[in-house]
Amino acid sequence: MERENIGELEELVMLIAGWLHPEAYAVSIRKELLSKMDRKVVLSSVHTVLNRLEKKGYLSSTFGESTPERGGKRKRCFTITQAGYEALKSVHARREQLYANFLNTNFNFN
Amino acid sequence: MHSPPSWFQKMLSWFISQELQEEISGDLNETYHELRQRKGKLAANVYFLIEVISFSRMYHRGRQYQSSNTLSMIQNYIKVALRNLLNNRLTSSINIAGLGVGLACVIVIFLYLTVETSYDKFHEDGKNIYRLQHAYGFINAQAAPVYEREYADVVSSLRINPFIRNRRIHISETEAYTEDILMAEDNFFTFFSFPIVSGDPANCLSDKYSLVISQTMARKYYGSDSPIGKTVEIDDPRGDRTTLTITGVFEDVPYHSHLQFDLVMPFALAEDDPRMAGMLKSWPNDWIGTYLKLEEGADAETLAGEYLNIWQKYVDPSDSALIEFMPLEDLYLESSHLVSDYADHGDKDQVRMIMAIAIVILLIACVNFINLSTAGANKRSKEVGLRKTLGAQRKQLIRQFLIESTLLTFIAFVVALCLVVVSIPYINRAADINLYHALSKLDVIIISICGILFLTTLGTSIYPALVLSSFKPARALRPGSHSNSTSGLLRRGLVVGQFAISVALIIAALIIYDQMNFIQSKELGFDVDKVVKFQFGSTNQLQNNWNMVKNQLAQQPGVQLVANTRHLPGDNAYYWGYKFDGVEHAEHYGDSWRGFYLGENMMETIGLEVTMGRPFDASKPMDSAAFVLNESGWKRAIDEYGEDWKEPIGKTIEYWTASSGEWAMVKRGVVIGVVKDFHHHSLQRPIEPIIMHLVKSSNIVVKTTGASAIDVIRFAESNWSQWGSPVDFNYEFVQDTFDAHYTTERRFNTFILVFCMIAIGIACLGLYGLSVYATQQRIKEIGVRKTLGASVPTLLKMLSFDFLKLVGIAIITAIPVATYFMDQWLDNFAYRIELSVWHVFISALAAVVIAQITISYNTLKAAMANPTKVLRSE
Repeated sequence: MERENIGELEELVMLIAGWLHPEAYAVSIRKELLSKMDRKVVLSSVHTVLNRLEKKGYLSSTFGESTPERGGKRKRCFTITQAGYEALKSVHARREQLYANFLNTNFNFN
Repeated sequence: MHSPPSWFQKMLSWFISQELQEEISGDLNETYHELRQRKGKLAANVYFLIEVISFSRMYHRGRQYQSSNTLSMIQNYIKVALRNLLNNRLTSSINIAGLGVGLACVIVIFLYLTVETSYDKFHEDGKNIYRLQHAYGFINAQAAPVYEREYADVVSSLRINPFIRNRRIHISETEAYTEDILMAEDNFFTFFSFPIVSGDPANCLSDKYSLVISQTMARKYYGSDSPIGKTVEIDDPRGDRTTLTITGVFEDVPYHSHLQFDLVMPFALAEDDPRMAGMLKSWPNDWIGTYLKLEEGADAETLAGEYLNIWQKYVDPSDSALIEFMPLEDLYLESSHLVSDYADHGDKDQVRMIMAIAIVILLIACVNFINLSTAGANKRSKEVGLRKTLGAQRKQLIRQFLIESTLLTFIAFVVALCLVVVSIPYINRAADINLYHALSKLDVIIISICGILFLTTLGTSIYPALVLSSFKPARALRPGSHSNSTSGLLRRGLVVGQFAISVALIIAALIIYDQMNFIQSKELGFDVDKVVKFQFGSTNQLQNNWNMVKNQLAQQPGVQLVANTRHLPGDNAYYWGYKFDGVEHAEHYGDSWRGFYLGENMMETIGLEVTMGRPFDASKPMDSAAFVLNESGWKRAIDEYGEDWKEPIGKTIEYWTASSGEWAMVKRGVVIGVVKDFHHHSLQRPIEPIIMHLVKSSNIVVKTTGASAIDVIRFAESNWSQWGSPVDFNYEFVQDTFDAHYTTERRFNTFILVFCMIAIGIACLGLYGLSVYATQQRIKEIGVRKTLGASVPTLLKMLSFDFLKLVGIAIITAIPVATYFMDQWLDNFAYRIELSVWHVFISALAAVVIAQITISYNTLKAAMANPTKVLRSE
């Protein structure tokens, strides 16, 4: 299978979704993006990313319960799949390698 | 529990599919709830709207699952429309060119209207401000205080002395400028809303010796230094200088103000000027711009009517007087009829005329469009038949043709925009107007242009869409049946209408052109060619040195005459009282006559023709109190004062004025001559009875032989300071100044002519397009006729006759309408041409010729075509 690239926002969303499980749905993910990463995004961006990741097979979803705030509508909760977990891990490993190289370099800033 | 507004569900359902709706609307609900609690209703609604709109990106995701062919049908329509466009390059380009030029004219005219109607709308209480005016834009100095004192509806009043012209301002010992200064009462900057940049709007004019200047003047005088507190000296009428302190700087007056000024000094300074001080108390003197601010809802008409009571109470119980209260916001467009005014003016009639032309041009372009689309309908009938057979509903077909016209209109619109952008600089220069000013009202313009575009699209597309979609498939697909007589009738009707408009425009253009020529070649009764005028600035100074100046100038080669005068042809002569000896006048100061003030040698210099008696002779001391009438004046004297005045020479006249505040006799003398009538006004106004007499003044007028004019001007310049003139050297050619009276009018008429041509051109485009179709439809008939022996001329006659019949009907309908309106238009002129049969005949001939030329290419081509080619396929 062709290796898919993971975008920065996708990466963040997957990390948060994995961490928030089983309460990972669009609204809670957006809240975390704001509080942890100081990223302000519109809801539709989160939805787009979630849908894209699901299509790539990195996330899977089930319908959760509804609350009165939601006007009786169910929420869609996301879980990391095996493929998603592997993809994230490989991204992490590559990053770590790059960071290690980077930090070992000496820079002369005047 | 807060739930989001209900429109959001609806909006969301446009964007996204059923499947995704539950979770998304749930998420949105939750977010809304939270936002509402944290930020309140308004902020929540705004954020929420942004959120909902941003979901539109999910559109495709949503639609993927739905099967709707609307979108693909629209794509198909556009594709077919483009193919059609390319297949019929000729009609498409006629359509686009015609409509594009039409729209461009409309947009330009719209920009012009935006500029012209934007005047004086920026004052805070502008709706309640009125200017007092009658024949002039100014009235006496007394009206304002009386109104403010005696009428409760008057909130405040403002008097201005519009422009002390050519006053010398000394910034320092070495630096001085000649400027026009506005004199205004101290509430000027609170009464109007001209923004003050530095200084106190309420008090900057309260000191009698203060001066408020514009930002431009501040830069000119002091560069980047602050002008506040600096002092300048201005020449005052006593020959002395008055020191003024600069107390304020105002923002440059915007273009859309009727009052344009750069320097304002206090009205109170008028008391220092003995002449003005006298006039301040005078009632008959009209010289003060007067504005009143009324209570909200006060009745201006009634207050204007009250002027009669005021006049009778303070001036003369038996006299009557009439003024009008002109709303400030209408002043610019509504006051162009005034005999004299300091304000800038636009002309309402011109605005209306230009607007009418814009509508006509757009109408013609739309008619073209409709005609060409319906004429081409037969070509499309097969497509329509096929679509209908395959199940297309009429609604869908209408939609298709609407989309097609919209596309064409849109392309035309883009063409129009390009034309406008390219042509604006030229129009600005030619019309002496700044259309870019209109951009300050971009919102209005965008909305209005969208409106124009919408109406145009509607106008051009509805009828063709209905016609095209109405074809019966069975008939449309049967070979050889094409007749469509009802739409043909309408088409012919539209052609007649369109051509009638064109013929009317040709008549109008011809008459306008004729009238312009007439005005230009009219015998003026005087000759100011090669006459140069110098404004000396000070009457006393000039009179002291007059003999020296005159002799020095007279000795210059090429100088024919040196004269001195107050008035020149085109100037506005004053009305004062003239008492004719032995006549019982109703007033003690005699009757009101227009006095034309001349000086030494002036009658000879401008070549007035003396028909009785003799001209003024400066060497005779008695002549300083002598009078000369023009022929109209002589006639008036005979009519009003009796047969005695048939022999006017030697009869005595007294000259009375009230310029010192009270009526007083200035001089008394005899009539020494009568001159032939000459145009002392511009030709827009009739010659009036005038009385000429000698008045000392500050203008030097020199008649030269043309070639030497430049040398004379150079000589005057080098001697200017030696002669003791207090103002900067200046000169003007009197002919140019006189001609300047017509430039606006001539320019406007040229514009009308150009727009008429454009309209006619567009109409011809349409006629050309129609002739293409008409000949195409009859091509086989022509082929058969030709094989049976018809000659080319017979065929040409037959084909042309069809069109010329329509043109004939158009001419007959156009003539009465056009002649009626042009007769009205000509009535605006004091001297006008009379309509003649020739105007109509030439216009009709021109219309026929233009129409014939337009269609002849196609008819000729059809008549000359080889019948074997045409009939080959039968």
